[in-house]
Amino acid sequence: MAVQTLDISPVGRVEGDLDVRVEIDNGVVTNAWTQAELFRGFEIILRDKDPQAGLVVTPRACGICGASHLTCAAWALDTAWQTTVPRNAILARNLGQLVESLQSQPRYFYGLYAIDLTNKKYRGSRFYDEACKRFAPFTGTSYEAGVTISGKPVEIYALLGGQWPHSSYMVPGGVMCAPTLADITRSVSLLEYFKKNWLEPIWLGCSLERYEQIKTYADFNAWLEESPSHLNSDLGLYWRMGLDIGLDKYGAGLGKYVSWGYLPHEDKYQKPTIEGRNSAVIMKSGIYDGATGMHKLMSQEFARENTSHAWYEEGTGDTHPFDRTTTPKSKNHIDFNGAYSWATAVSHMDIGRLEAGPFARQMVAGGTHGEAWQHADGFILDVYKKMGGASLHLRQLARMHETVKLYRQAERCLREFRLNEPWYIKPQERDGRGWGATEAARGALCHWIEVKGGKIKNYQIVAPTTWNVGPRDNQGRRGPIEEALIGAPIADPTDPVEVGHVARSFDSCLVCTVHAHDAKTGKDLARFKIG
Amino acid sequence: MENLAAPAGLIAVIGCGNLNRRDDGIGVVVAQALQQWVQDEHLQGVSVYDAGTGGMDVMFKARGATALIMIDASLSSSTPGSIFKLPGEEVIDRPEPGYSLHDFRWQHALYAGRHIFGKAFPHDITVYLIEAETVTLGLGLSPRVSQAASQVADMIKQLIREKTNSPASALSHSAPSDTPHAASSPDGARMTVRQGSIFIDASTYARYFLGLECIVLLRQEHTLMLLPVRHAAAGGLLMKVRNAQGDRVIHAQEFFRGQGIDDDREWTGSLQWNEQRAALVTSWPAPS
Repeated sequence: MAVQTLDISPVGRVEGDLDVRVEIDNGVVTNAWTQAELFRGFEIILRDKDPQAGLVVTPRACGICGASHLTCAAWALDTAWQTTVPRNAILARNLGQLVESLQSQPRYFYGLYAIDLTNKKYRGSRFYDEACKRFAPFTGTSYEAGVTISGKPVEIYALLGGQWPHSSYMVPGGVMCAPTLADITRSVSLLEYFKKNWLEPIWLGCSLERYEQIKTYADFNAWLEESPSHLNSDLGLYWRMGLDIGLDKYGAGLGKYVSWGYLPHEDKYQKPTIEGRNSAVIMKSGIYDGATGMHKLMSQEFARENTSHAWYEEGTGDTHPFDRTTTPKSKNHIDFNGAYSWATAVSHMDIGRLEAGPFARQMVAGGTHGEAWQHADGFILDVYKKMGGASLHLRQLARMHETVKLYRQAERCLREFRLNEPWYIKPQERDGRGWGATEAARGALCHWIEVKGGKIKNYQIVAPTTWNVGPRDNQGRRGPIEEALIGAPIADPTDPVEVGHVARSFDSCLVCTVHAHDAKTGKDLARFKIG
Repeated sequence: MENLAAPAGLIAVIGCGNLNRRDDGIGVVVAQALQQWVQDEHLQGVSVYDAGTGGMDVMFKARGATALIMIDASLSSSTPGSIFKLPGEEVIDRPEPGYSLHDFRWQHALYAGRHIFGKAFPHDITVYLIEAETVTLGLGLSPRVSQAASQVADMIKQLIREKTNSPASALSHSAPSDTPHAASSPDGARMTVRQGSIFIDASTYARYFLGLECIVLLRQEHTLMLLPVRHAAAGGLLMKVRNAQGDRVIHAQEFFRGQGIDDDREWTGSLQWNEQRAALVTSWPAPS
């Protein structure tokens, strides 16, 4: 049977988000290209602007991870200006990041990922009826509960930052807020609400304390069998159904992972520097290479971008982001042998292309590298080893496994605030280079800034989706999502749900594009014209 | 104290768009102007949000309001700067699954909100669209669109004035007085006390407490007063959300025990707004 080529563009809008091309041979994906239509362009907007412009512009880079961008923008300036950041401010920034990520967990799982489980392809599964009952959009019991609860954690963000998603409350030298005891009390009750109404009863079917005892795959399986409420929780149902329908059989990807680490400790990063960050973050940075089983620390100096297959006039060599010029080509067309994306191919200078995201974070958390006081958790790495490698099912388990940890860290921030201590120390502006990073819900995010003559000379962003959705590099090596699509079995080329599973398991977050209402033509609108 | 007399906000105004894409940001620009106006005019009952490119969050911001006004840019090949005013029904749209949460736009959020929140979601929806001239990367509106933005801001101010002044509307500036309705509240608002907790439904909450999270309970002889707490630092008891409809519960065991009411005492009472006391009042139950 001839190779069949399938172009999948999920949204027929003015500009698509993520488009995928796959070649299918004998019902299996044998080649794949991911194409990001969108040009971030913040690098160009920010050129020659006031150094603090990044605090206002970049949180609008994204309608779902504005806090993550703000975190990076603030830390980047802190390192460039050599500020002092008070411990309360570090906690307030971490809390903003954490509640945004908590918000993303149910919203992503029910709003994007789990809908595919109700696809008619899975009618034969013994879990199908229950999946439809819970996960069908708008009518599913868990869909409704999960989407509704997702609005709660970011109410805490609004208490700190005035609004979510686009706030600029983090500034070099601290934060522009001073929560009252009432704000803290409310935040505690909002977290509690999230736990009592979704995380424990619906997602886990048990207490956080019971779930936290799980350290290995064997523990997890024992937990599943321990009680019907575990077995029938959304986590229990998802895990069992995924095995039943074979989600553990494909979607593995590159097998190499990256995390910048996140959550600087409030007592260890008050004098922020680029070099000092690795030993100051609670969740350690690192890379994990599945082929060698090695963990190493990650550092921004290892990052490289390659634009050989992207629409930039920046040569074919690997470039460190500080040295990029961001020179876009105009009048582009898609040429899968040549340039076909606005995303660059990001890599580690020695290890090559890497997958970013919550799965990568858990693979890194399993290592013994880093400092003894830093967080470590071997659960997902153990499942990876016991199951013989990665899959999109494991990527999903890893993502949702993090929820309880995010919750605990948010609780900790609220406990640690000292309301009578400072939140901001006015910094001295100066020229220099800075770098700020975090882990957005969907993966490693960082900003590089170079300030010269009191203005931004160069601003560069590498987002999780830049790592994951990037095109081939100058050696023709596929990007992480492209690689993860290889081997996916396509039962019905007219409804390739398997491609959707893989693509969605990365929770791609491209630039927030034009959001103008484009569903109506001028003719449609003519009768509503009032001015 | 004057502000305390008015019931909390029932009109939600939400501007959407991407400020980094020139005219695409017009909804946000208008919303920011209206936020300033609401603040300057000390308007109660109107909440204005800059939702940016958040999409799904629109459903949470609109929840509980009785009227919703949306503002966004349009790309319809019309003359740039054209202003369109549409009823919500024209734009509400069921979302199709995409590869990214970014595909979930405000028109989908309206669909989701209606389905999930039902009666607690506004039915009166007005949408203003302004035709964009350029949506390239960059900051600032083009001149024609900028002019349209101030026109739309004025139109919305007028619309808000109409809605808040209409006597038939629940948006009236003055709260219903208790004197003409001494026997029963005009909309039959009630509360139930069970196990030391007060239960109120979503519509009562929306009518008297919208946007607030705390109340203070006060007993004066034969009257129980529920006072809205507007300042975050003032404390009070939390009005916790019970379910997707937005019904509320206030855990007040200690308060009732302190007043000699046991946890197993269950009772219901009708609620009336008392302007002088700036509180919802109900009768204290007879001793059991």
